[in-house]
Amino acid sequence: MGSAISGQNAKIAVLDGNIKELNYANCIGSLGHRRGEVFARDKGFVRWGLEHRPPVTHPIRREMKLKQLESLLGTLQQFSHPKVELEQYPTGPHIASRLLYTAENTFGDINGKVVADFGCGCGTLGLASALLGAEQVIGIDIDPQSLEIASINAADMELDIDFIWCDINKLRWRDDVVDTVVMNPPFGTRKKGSDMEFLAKALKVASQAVYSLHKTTTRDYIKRTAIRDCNARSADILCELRFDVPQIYKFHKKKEVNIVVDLWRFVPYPTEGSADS
Amino acid sequence: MRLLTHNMLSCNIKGVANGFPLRLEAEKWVEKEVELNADFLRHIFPKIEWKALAGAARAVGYCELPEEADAAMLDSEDFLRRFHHALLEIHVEEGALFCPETGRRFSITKGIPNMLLREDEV
Ligand SMILES: C[S@@+](CC[C@H](N)C(=O)[O-])C[C@H]1O[C@@H](n2cnc3c(N)ncnc32)[C@H](O)[C@@H]1O
Repeated sequence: MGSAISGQNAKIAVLDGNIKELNYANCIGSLGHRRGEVFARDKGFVRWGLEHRPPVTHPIRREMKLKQLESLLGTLQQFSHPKVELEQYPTGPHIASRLLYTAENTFGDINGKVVADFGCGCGTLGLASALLGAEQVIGIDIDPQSLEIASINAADMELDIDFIWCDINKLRWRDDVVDTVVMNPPFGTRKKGSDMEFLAKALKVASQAVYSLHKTTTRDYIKRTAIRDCNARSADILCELRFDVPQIYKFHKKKEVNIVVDLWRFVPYPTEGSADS
Repeated sequence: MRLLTHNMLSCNIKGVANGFPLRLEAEKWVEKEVELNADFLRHIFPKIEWKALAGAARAVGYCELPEEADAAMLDSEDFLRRFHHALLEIHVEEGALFCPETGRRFSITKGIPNMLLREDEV
């Protein structure tokens, strides 16, 4: 892991499992505060991927800069009445823009692809994919109110993306039509194991890559389970970051709870015969 | 919902054997032009269930797709244009997806298919 990336250009900061001590110091030591989320401010880190723009086909989207993407995502309407049991909190524009920008500029997983946004909420990750030139984006959520907000967000940005009202665990798709899945799954603080259910399904339907956020405390478990049980050929951590989750438990005194999470990129094995999922 | 999405969706009721394709019953749809990306069409073509696409296109009154298609047709610009239109330019706004196997009907409202199951279906 990591080698594929650092082989291209060592400037991209990658948190490789083998060198984590080193990079931890690098990342965590320089975390900067923002409202809603905190993100590593390490120079190399923030610039990851920027040097590697593969040729993009869409003339308009070629011009999309990281800053531009981030500020566009900042205009999106978010959950008006978040449902605690569904772990509804948005991925902030800072993290969302970097996640998608890296997926596109370092790995070429977005432009001209079919992208699914699992647990799309108000659509941030899916809309970011569309802004970076995804040919077709499909957002899936179990909550109709979120889907309604996501549709309004899409219309406001004049982006056409599809939505499906469905429980991810009950989703039945033909495998491999989707190229890339992007998601910020429920961390499983309310319903244990829900992040792994999302991951297993994502790795089943995606043919190219899955981007996902998971709690750092579950790192070893995620890697092991993804490779052993979930059809992942590789599981790499792209970076570690802090995610501010609104207070959801009464015994928490603070208004927001800081969770350390890993941004992962998983690559699935191709499914044989590509039947149903 | 575009026909590309329709081409992936299966009936998800417990115990269903095949569940694909769902028959599209379209009441209202709109067409929106998008730029044709030939590379994308070549990339997606082998993943498409052609009969399901042609059937769904007919359900929205678009009968310009051949009954069968093979990769050689991708050299024809005319074919690419039709394929592109059916796959990406038609948005079903209201209607339903019907599963002939189980008789279950999934409604489509404001473009969003409702694939949520009742408790006795999971
Ligand atoms: C942490 S939020 C992320 C929202 C959005 N993707 C974002 O990044 O801003 C998790 C989302 O997953 C949805 N969700 C939770 N359980 C689900 C399930 N079983 N099936 C589909 N969506 C689910 C919630 O409604 C919520 O919108």
